[in-house]
Amino acid sequence: MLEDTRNWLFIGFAVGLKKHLKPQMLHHIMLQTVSTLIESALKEYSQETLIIEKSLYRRKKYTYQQVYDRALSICTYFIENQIKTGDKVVIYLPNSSDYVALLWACALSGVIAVPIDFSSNQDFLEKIYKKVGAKLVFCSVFKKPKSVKCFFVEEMQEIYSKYKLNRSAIIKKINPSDIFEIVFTSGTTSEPKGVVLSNKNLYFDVIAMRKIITLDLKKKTILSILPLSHLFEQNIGLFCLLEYGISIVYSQSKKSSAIIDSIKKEKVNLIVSVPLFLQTLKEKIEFEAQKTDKLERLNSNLKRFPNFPNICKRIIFSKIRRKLGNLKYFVVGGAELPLEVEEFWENLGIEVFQGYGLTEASPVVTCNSPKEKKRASLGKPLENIEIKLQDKEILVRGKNLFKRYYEDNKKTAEALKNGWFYTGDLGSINEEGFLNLIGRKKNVIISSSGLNVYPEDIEKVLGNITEIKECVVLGLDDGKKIVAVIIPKKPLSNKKIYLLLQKANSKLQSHQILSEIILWPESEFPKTHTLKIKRSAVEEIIVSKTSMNKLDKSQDKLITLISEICQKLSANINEKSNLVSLGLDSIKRIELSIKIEESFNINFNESGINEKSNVADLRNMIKNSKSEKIDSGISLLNSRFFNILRIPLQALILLLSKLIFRLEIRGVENLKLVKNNEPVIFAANHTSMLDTFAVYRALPFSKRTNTFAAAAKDFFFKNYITAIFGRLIFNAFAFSRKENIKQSLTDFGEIINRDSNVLIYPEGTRSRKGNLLPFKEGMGVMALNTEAPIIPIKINGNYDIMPVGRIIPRFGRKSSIIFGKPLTFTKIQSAQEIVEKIHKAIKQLN
Amino acid sequence: MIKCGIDLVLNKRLAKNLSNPDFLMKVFLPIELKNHEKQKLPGIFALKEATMKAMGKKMNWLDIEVLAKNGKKPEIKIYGKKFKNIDASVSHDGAYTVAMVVGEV
Repeated sequence: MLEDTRNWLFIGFAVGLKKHLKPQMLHHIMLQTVSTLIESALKEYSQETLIIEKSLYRRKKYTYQQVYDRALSICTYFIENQIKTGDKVVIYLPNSSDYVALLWACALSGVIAVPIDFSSNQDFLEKIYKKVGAKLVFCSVFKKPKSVKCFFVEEMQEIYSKYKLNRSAIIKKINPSDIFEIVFTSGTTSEPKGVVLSNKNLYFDVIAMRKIITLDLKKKTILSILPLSHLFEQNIGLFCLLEYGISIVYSQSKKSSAIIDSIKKEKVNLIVSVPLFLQTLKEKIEFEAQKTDKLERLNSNLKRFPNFPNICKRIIFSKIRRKLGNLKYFVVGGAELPLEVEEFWENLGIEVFQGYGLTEASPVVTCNSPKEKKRASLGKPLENIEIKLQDKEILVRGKNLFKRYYEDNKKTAEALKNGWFYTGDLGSINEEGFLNLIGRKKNVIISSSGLNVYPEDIEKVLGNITEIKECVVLGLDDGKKIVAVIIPKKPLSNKKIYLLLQKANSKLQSHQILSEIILWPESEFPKTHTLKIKRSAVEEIIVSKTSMNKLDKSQDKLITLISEICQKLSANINEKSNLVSLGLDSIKRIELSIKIEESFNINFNESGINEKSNVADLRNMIKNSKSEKIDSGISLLNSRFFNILRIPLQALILLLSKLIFRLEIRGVENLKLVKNNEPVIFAANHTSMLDTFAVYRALPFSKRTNTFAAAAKDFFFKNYITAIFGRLIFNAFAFSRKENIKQSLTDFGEIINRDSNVLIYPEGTRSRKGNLLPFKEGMGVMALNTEAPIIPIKINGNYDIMPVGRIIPRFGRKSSIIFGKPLTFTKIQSAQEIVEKIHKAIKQLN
Repeated sequence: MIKCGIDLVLNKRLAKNLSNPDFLMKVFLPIELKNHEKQKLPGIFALKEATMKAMGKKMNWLDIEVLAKNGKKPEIKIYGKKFKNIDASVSHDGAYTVAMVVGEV
């Protein structure tokens, strides 16, 4: 206990000293732990946004402090559930604020994190769960492992609200040498290797990386692409840039259209990713340019201005750069980046920093920096990290190196000798000290999500399939496609090959999935004199063949997609093929439409596909949906800019309404009960045209300009005068009572995301007799799906002043408005039940 | 006129897609996803597909809302299209889920 206190005094002292010390000196005094990284960022940026989480309709923000508080709650949960320092918990989740809170909680409490890639399959998870003897798995209900102890991330809210935060009671003393996490990489054999990383390892690499990334990133935004189970993402994409007070965007959707949208809307400055991502994004831009016949111009322009300053490039390529918002930097690693891709981006004015790293080195070893940068190279080693070559193999030494492989002394001894880590990668170092990669000692394919895929692993699985005599697994198209080249025992028909592919894939992990099986034309693979298959020779022939094939089929994207989804040979698909007879059932239809949206970058509505549709029909639908414009109910007039007009107009109109009726306001203090000043939905009863006036009169000024009134599209927006009047004064937006719930959901989400409130009349229409009508459920559903608190409002008396049908109000009367307490619905309930509760709440207000 | 529709789902095939957020968001409303019991999703999916079959036309998945309560018949709400007096039923056994929907056009 005494030691604990001393330790904290020590850090407190160091933080206090910070003003007088240079940051470099500070790091020597501060404890070299991950929690130091977190807490020093927290000191400076506690109220800045750390995480922006985007789902389809909602965008949620979390500050540094909020994430930290959540981490503390998780620490308390750990303590109360007997999960102690040194125990292990598995994190099996997609990136989210919860993921970050969990990692932070582990850093603060000394519980060891075992992150497992969310795309890996459940057998892999269970294997590791058993191997490390984990206490708990944090996972999602949507991907629920079977025989493990789970905690669902969907229920995390319970931890956050139930467990109180008492920092001094929770936080344990963490030593720099304590283990922070164990990261499993699938090894060259089927047995996964666990890389044990201490606090110091990660701390050291993060600090070294901070010295290199001296970019202008203060309080800027970065977009996360890679999974947090990937060390590259954890180091650069999370811990390293905390120094700048960055915000990180986690987008739920992985569609490239959604990613491009996020880049633009969130004003993303930097993206940490793998080369394949840059390649795909480049192709997307080229595809767009081709559509408007501007590809040639783009290419020639790119070649014309390579040495112009980036500011000029921003103007020259303004059309493209506008789509990419504020994007300025890429940090790339994990695989070889083709020079043409690097040049493409640099010529566009977006700087690319390529680096080299391995999980074992936490992970960055070398990286290009703004000061020392060289194209087609992996940069120089970071500070205090040494590299050297031995028989061309890259050897690394430094404090960033892992401690050991989990319970595998033999492999540890093989990889770590005399303090040097044998990477298994072959490289060269030029006279200036820049590293270049020549190849890998081990054969490895880097998948699109940055995972290592070892062909030997797949070959081992395939070797156990009876039909296959010999096989070679290759990664084509820079790892986009993993194919197996096989020599079968007996000749196989096309159909049999497909069955074989399915059989093989059912036995493989999701990142190992084969996209094709190719028959080797001869009876034997080319072999060395020791009878090893000459992989490179096989690859050469296959690559030349497939590139010829591509020319034959003129690379039709749609047919390739259909053949992938329906597992039919693309040769058997033509324009007249009926989609249903190709096996396109309801699930495949959705899968296909997601793929189409991704490849063609459009919003595709699959409901047009019916029993009679053929490929040509589908092609037409894709063509037409390109021009499909979303009919949003929110217009430019609703923007904050028009507040200049809105504020005086509102004041005037509301003043005029005071001449018509007096208003008694009660319960406004209830508005303060809303936590964190969250946006809310006001639900009021509706008897008169004057109701909206009454609500706006009663709202405090800050909420008044910031509240959108949902107005019936078919009634209110029929003529321009009421529409413009409504939009300008009451921030009215068109709410469709009948069609397209998706659009309404998007609009509601958009408003709440702008931190604005919504006013709805759940009855759907004005009550003709002045009584409270039953509520429309659609309205309730809308409210629920956006997860905003609801404030019931009761308006009395307006019915007497101006009921339906009356054009001139009765002057001089008095009405009243009452605000109820905010209602939140965290527990799962049906829309009906919740609507009834709101109904009851309004009825009871008096 | 009374119409009926039926749909059979192999749970395994749907489960494969449930970890893909793009799939989830295309098919299920947030409120349906909030239904913590993942087992219900194949049922909801089958009910939606059966509804479309009964109505005789494909529509946006999100325009159909399914309320699945434990021990009660599922309720179906349709937004934007006319389909009245709906009655629905769903059944699970092992690897399969089947749903049946009847309603008036």
